[in-house]
Amino acid sequence: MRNGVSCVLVWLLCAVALPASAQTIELDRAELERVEDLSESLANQLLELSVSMRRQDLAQVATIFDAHGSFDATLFPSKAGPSSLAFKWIESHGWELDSEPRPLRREVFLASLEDFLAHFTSIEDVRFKVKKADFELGEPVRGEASVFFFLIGRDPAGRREWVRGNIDLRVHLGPEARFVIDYWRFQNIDSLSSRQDLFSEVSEPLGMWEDVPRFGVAPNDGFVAHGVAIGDVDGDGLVDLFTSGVLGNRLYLNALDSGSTFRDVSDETLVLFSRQGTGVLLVDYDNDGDLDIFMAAVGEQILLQNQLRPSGKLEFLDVSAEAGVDHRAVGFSASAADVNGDGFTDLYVSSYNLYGQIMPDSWSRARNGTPNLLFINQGDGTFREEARSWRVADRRWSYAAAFADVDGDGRQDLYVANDFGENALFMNRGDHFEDEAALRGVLDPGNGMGVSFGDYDNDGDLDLHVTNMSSTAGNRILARLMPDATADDALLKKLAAGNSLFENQGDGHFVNVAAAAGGFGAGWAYGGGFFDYDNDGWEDLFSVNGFVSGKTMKDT
Amino acid sequence: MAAASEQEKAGNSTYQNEHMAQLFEEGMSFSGFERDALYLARGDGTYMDVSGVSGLDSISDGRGLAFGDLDNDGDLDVVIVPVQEAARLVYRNNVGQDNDFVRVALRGTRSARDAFGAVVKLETSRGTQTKIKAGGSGFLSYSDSRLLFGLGPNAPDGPYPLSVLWPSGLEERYEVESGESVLLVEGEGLSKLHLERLELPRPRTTSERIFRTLAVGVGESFPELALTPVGAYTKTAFGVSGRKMLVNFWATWCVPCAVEMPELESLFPKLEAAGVGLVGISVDTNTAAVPGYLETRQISYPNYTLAESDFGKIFAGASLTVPLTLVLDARGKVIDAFSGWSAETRSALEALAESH
Repeated sequence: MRNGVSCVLVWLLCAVALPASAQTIELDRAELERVEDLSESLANQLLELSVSMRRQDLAQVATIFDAHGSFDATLFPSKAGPSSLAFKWIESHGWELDSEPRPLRREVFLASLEDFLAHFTSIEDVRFKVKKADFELGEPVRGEASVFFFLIGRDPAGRREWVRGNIDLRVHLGPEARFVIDYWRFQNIDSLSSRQDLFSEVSEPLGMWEDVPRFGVAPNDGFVAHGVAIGDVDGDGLVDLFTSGVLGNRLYLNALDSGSTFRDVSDETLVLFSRQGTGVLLVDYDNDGDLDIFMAAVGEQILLQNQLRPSGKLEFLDVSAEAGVDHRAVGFSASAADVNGDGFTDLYVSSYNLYGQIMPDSWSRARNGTPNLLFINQGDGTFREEARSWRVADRRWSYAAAFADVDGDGRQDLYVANDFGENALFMNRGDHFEDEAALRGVLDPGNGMGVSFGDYDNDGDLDLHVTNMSSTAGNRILARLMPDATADDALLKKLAAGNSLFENQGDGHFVNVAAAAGGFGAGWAYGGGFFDYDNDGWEDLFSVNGFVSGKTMKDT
Repeated sequence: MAAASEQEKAGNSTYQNEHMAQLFEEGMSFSGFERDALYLARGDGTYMDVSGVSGLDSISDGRGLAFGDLDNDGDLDVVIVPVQEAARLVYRNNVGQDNDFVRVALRGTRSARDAFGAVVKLETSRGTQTKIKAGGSGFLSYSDSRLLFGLGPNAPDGPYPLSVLWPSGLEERYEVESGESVLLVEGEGLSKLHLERLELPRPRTTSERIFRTLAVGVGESFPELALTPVGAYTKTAFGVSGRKMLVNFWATWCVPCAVEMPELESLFPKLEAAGVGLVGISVDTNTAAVPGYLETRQISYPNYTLAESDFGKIFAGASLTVPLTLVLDARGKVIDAFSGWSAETRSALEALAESH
């Protein structure tokens, strides 16, 4: 991008422009933008390198090195070290590296790369990511960068192998504003490999594959219509699948027991003809024994009543208006629990705002979202919206929420993750909620996207996982802004740190242990949470990441 | 609403927003191509990033995410709704079912029937595992509400003490055995669920994916095509030729073809020596450009142009995805397909040249 200010940079600068630090930041801004522009340009050139290495197009790889003369480098490693069992199915091995760089001709270096790539029978991905870069704005411009490198491929035994390494680079800006590498030193490099594929994608053989246009191309210009719910809607003991989505609502019935796969019944069950929802829930709001569908929506909220007949015929009737949930919101996630303890499930809608038409009034404490909704179940098939009297009509830009009894008083408390600011932990006082996020250590400032409760340390209480944004560019900028981090900078660091794991201290107070647990700088994370995928009795963690991938890898 | 002043407060926001819209239209990425992240619990409070070897590390821009045991085999499969390209992705868990488990479904009576917020604790050798029946979690999503507790490999049969704290305040205690799926009804006790263990289908192989875009299937005879030889080649026998044959579809406008064809040319003598035939078929509609293209690149293996009316005998859809290489057996049946020129295709073809 050529306007000199990256989107990430604008966002972070705005986030950084807090009262206490505004003045110093202003002074650095021009140089910061110039340096970040160079970093971004280097990052994009390394992405080109990533792509050409993935394609094993060595002629293209060569273009980032000086064709004449030599440069100081350590060779790509040619010999794998011995394998050892790292954990479960996962093996690890090192690679033998030259200790010090020496002057090498380009051909020699590229030959070592070719030999290295020959270890893999196929290569799925290669990436060089700039973690940190500094530039001297002389003639020519010179720079030093710390680069994270990875490669994902298959070894000759057909096993997935993930090579990770860190590289120190020195570069100068050559003709046509292209960087040339003058120095390449592997700090370290190692591999993980898996004895078997842990997961396989099967939507297509399941009959659930559908093409969706690229983001920005009609009809995929929507907001966040990307919900999914798993539950048994026809009572046959097998879980079914409901999704919202830019192509409309879909219901797939599980027919694995009849030797079939999943059957698309969106049409015959009428869910296809309901308005498009965002967040989805399966909930028995009328306590009649079958699962109804509640959808948050941009516009009026949606309730579809399950009309399962004894004959097995399944239809969903839109009862949004009769049930009184047709209140407007920029509804994202939907959450459910019995808030007032009357034996009927109540519903909560996390409401955002029409980003683009309305912009947040602050990047770190936005309060101009649309109010969240709380539907109190009246027990007669209707709801009353009572968010104001329960004091949870929050005007922050809410993404997601989850209920749990955090303080053990028998009432369902509510954690709400917000974009552009702090999160809320609403403690249920019986007839209203009080926000104790600060007191209980779960403000988690930043850009909260997803919430779930689970017990990560098997100590008998529920811990809290919140997905967040982490950004390589953001980290890069922050490292330059705040070389000497102090406690005051914790908020800024947090903005780019990634997912949070809050350990329950046993009394409903929490401590973020993400860093101690190894760090979860997953990326720009949305859905995520606890998930003991290997049934070993310990909750693993998973999050889906990435904002928008364009036609090229080149980032804005 | 004072929208204007709100926008002013946000400084560059209007600029940023217009700028972003323009960038997406141009196909630019913004924090794109990020791999999904899987962290494996070591059991000591720390986690190991195993994303890159998991197969769950898609680069799709995921939004909604739910976990559930879709095939009742005792482990959690994964459904992801990305922002583009695929309406949904379904991941079959290949490993969890090897360990033992207990499954607990809940139904409230005094509590709401959903019993959201109920907390189940299971005493195991790994400590007190605690799970909540969540009324929605993560982002936009709702996971399988039947709670799965992992017991690890070769777990003792039990019994394992289990407690439920219902939203109504009622607390109940039970015992369960390894491998059991149980339904707990508030105040009414435990019943065993007899769930048939099923299996999600295996993933499609790369070649199966390619064949879904083709009009010709595995095991079918290579179709009769209206071909015109380029240059002086005599007609190739595509039927019962008595030898394996590679048929490479290409076009002058195809960028990877330009990379692939010199590679095929260099493989040609090896293939001949191995008794494998190689033939190129151009799908150019402007066939005049074909001879010059081949001459410039010094392609010596036999080449043909294909009549446009016969494109549909090979390609199922409207779009021609080339390069495409079909492998025919000695009887002229199609046995494999490679799409695009990649390191994978190269090594597969090299293997063919060497295997004979």
